Parts: sequence; structure tokens; C-alpha cells
Amino acid sequence: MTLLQRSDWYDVARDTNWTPSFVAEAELFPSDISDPFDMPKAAWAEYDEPYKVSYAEYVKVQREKDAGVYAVNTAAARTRFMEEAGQRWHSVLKLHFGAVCLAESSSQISEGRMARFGRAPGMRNMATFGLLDEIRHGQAQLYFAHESLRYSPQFNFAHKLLGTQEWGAIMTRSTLDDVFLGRDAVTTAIMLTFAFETGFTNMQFIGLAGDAAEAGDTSFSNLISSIQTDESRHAQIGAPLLKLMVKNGYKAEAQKAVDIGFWRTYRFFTLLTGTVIDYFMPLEKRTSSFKEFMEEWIVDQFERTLLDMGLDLPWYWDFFLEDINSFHHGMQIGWWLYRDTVWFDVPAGVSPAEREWLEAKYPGWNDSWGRLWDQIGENIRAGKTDLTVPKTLPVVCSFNNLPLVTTPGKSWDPQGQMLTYKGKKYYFQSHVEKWIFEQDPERYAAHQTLIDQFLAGKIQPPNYEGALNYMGLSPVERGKDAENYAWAFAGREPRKMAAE
Amino acid sequence: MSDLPLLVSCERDFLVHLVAVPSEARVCDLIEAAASLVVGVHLPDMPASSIRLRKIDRHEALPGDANVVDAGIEPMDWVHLFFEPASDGKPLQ
Ligand SMILES: [Fe+2]
Ligand SMILES: [Fe+2]
Repeated sequence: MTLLQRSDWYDVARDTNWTPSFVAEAELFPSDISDPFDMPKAAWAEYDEPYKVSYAEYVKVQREKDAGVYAVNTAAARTRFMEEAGQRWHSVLKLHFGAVCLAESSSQISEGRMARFGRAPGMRNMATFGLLDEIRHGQAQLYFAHESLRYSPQFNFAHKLLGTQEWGAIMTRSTLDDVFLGRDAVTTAIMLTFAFETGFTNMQFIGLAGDAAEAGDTSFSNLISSIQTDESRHAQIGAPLLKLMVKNGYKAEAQKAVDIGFWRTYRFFTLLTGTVIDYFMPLEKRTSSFKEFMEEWIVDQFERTLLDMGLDLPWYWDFFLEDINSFHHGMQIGWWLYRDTVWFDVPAGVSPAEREWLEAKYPGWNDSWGRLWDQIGENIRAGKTDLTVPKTLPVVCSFNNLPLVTTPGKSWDPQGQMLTYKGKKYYFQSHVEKWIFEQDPERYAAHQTLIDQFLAGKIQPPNYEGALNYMGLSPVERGKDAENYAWAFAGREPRKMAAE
Repeated sequence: MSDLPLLVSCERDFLVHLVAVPSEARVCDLIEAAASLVVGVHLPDMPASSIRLRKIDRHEALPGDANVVDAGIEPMDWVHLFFEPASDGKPLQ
């Protein structure tokens, strides 16, 4: 029997926008959860997904992908890669799995929302496959993380993290809730598939896959490259939607959703990817700096995509281009100082050779961030490692939940960073976070950051140790310096060390 | 006696510390408590006499011997440590 070509039947078969007779259209697709802009049916009819696939094709391809991923993993298990990989690479994996496994799994909800409440059949189709993709991503990455448990109990945070009150977990949940779990189908398509996946997932997965291959981790590299092939398919849900919004007079609404989604996602990936690329990766394995990656993946590609679609660059673009030079350096020194509060051992990444690299990639680094590390290194060499352990919590941004940071020597911006709303004081990393908050204060005002929880008396005893327990970190799970402070002594004569 | 939770940043440092002081404390006590988190920790040692405190959105230093509440500091205010005279030219932040 000859089968029809997909192109002969797909357009007819996917057209499932039937006219409901038992309920009103508005009950079938309530605007709150479907399309808050109530765009006309004629506009929605223009939605044409760029990637067409049938269920049978999907299953066949996915099956092959999974078979490949697990086969490579089985082969790699016969090598001694993990035993010999070194603590830095283990930390990259622990960080990635903790931040990503359940986050991907949770995005089934977002895909499910688009699959049920998207107004265009093509959107619903793609999102159905997207949902199946995210089941696969959650399962495969949890499986890999679980296999690594024999190397360290910290790998358990692949599963444990998002159920804790660890500060990174609070940040992750709050970001995911805002960007893709607590949004209608239209906004989800823009913020998740366009801002988050088209904008940044590429960088995390392709960038990291390249680094993994460099580091010799073929199994992990293969796993996340395979995941990325799904991402780059279902990430295309948003673009046709944005196109029809611009064309039908909804550009302002589309632009606002892009601006908000992009910024939140940027902060999330700066913490995750910026620190790994510029500090965790062994120097000899680094391909590009975080800034170079950002310029290639985000500035060049994302910028072009936005403009091609008839949208504008987000209003804060100049500030963003500045920010990629600095914010992640603050996150890195934060990771390291507050290493007790994370589930992986933190490489400082500031040996003399690495500092030279940082200075070359970020001119002025030595004179700003470097000075902090100078003092920290001096304290370590003087045997005063207790001074490198914080005594208090850092204040975190009321919106993005990350510690407020500035480049040493650069002024804070109190005007842009503070706001009182209904009698409560809110503090922001920048005027961009403040702007987002102001767009919908009721959505954000009641959120409790770790600091809010501390002030509300939830952390007992109310001190640093109390906070570590509250965050769900047992002593064996808490991070340490990944290299036992060797970086602070690198390149120094032992005698000189003794004299200091 | 109740504690006053505050945000404290410091010239040449990179983050904002959450610090609580008793409402009976003087500004100089707050300076001492806050400086102990930064000076000699993230920054080189500085003589205590050179450290001043201001509100983050004001220029003038608060008087060291004033009570923190009388000096106008309220819960969850953001205060900033700076050095005077500046050790190398102008204050940085
Ligand atoms: Fe995914
Ligand atoms: Fe995805």
C-alpha cells in the first residue's frame, strides 16, 4: 500500500479548529489561560508552524535519539572518565543537573498549556510533541545524574534541589513560575519558547556540549546535544505567533512579553552558564569567554531574529550589552564565598594563569574583581580561611532572588534599585528588574525571597548555620572549595608563602 | 530592645550584606559591625577611624556618636560604608 506524503494530508488533518456546540468558544478557551489579548480568529488562522511532523515520524526519530544517547552512555561507562575528570567537571555536572533536570520536567506543564489552550491547531500540535520532549529531557538527565551518585551525594540535588528552600532553588522556581508555568498559552509561547529556548537554551546546551566534548565527556556531550535537537524544534512555537501578532496590531503586547521574558531568562543563564564558562571550565579546555558566547549566540543571532520579525530590541539593550561584562563575575565570587549554600564544590577559577585570561577577556578585571580575590587569597595564605566564610546572608534582589552585586568601584544606583510598594521596601539588581516589577506589582509583591523568609522568622536559629539547614543542605552536601585552596598558592615559592 | 535589620554595602566591595543592630546602637557601633564583614575580608585592612557611613541615596556621613534611630535609620534601610579621607584619590563609590 502506498502511503500519502505528509504534505498531502497534514494541513487538512491538523485543522482541528472545530466550532463547539455544547459550550461557548470563550469557555473552551478562557482568555485568562489561552489568549489574554483575544486576537481575532482570522489572525490566529495565519499561524503556520515552521516544523511539521506527524506522530509516527516523531516517535521513530525520538526512539532513535534515545537509543543513541543510552548506547553512548553505556560505552562511556566502560572508561574511567568520571574518575579522572577532576572536581571542576564534576561541579559543572552537578550544577547543570540541579538547575536543569526538574526545570525541564516542569516545562511539560507549559507545553501542555499550549497544547490545550493554544488557539492555532499547529501550535497545539507542536506543543504536544514539546510536552513529550520534556518528559524525555527530565528522565534522561535524572538517569544520568542518578548514575553519578556513586561519585558524590551532591549529585542527589539533581532531584532534590527544586523541593528545597536553597536560594538557587527559590530563584529557579520563581523564574520558571513567572516565565512559563504561571502564564497563559500566548505569553508562554513568547517567554518560554522564544525568549528562554530560542534565546538561551541554545547557548547552555550547544555551548556546554562543546565544552563537554573538549573535556572528554562524550556521554554528557551527546546527551545534551540530543536534547538540544528537541529544543530547537519546539522552540519554534513562538516565532509564528510573534509574526502574526506584529502583523495584526499586537506588536506592543508582543514586545513587552519579549522584554520581560528575555531579561528574567538572561539572569537565570548568567548565573548558570556565565560562571561555568569563565571560571569552572579548566583553562586549557575553554573555547570562548561567556561574553564571546553571548555576543555570538544572543547579540548576533537573537538580535537578528527579533528584527526580522518586525520587533524592536528590548528597551534596555545598551544596558544589557554592558551587563554581560560584569554581572556573572559577581555571581562567581558569590558562589565561591557562599559555597556552603550550594550543592557542588566551587572552583574559584582565579589562579594566576586564569586571572591573566580573565584580564584579557574582560579588561579591567584585575583592578576590580581581582582586588577582592587578592584579599581573599591573602587571608587563605595567612591561614585565616575562617575569614572567607560569610557571617551573614547577602541581600538578594526582590525580583530575581540573586544577590545584589556591583562591580567593585562602580556606584550603586539607588534610584533605579529601590521602591516602596504598599509600605514594603523592595530592592532590585537594576532598573530593569524594577521596571518589570512595576509592570505588574500585584503579581510579584507577595513573593518571599530567602531574605524575606529570614526576616519573617522562618529560619531558626536566625544565623548562618540556621540558614544552611533551612536550605536543606546537610554537612556532606554543602559545597567546598573545589581545589582545597590550591589556587591561592599557585605560582608562589613555598618560602615566600611562609614569610607572608 | 528590638533589632534593626539593614542593608549594608561598602565602597569597593561587591555585594550588600544583611546586618541587624540593636535599636540602641550608635552609628559607630553599626560601622564597626558592618566593617568587620568587609574590611580585612574582601578589602585590605583600613584604620577604623577612616570609615564613615551614609544612607545609600545621600552624600553626607551620619554622625558616629548618634543613635542609629535618631540618625534617621529605619528598618530595611540601605546604608553604605565609605572611607575618608579616600586612601587613593576620590572615593570610588
Ligand atoms: Fe527541554
Ligand atoms: Fe524545552
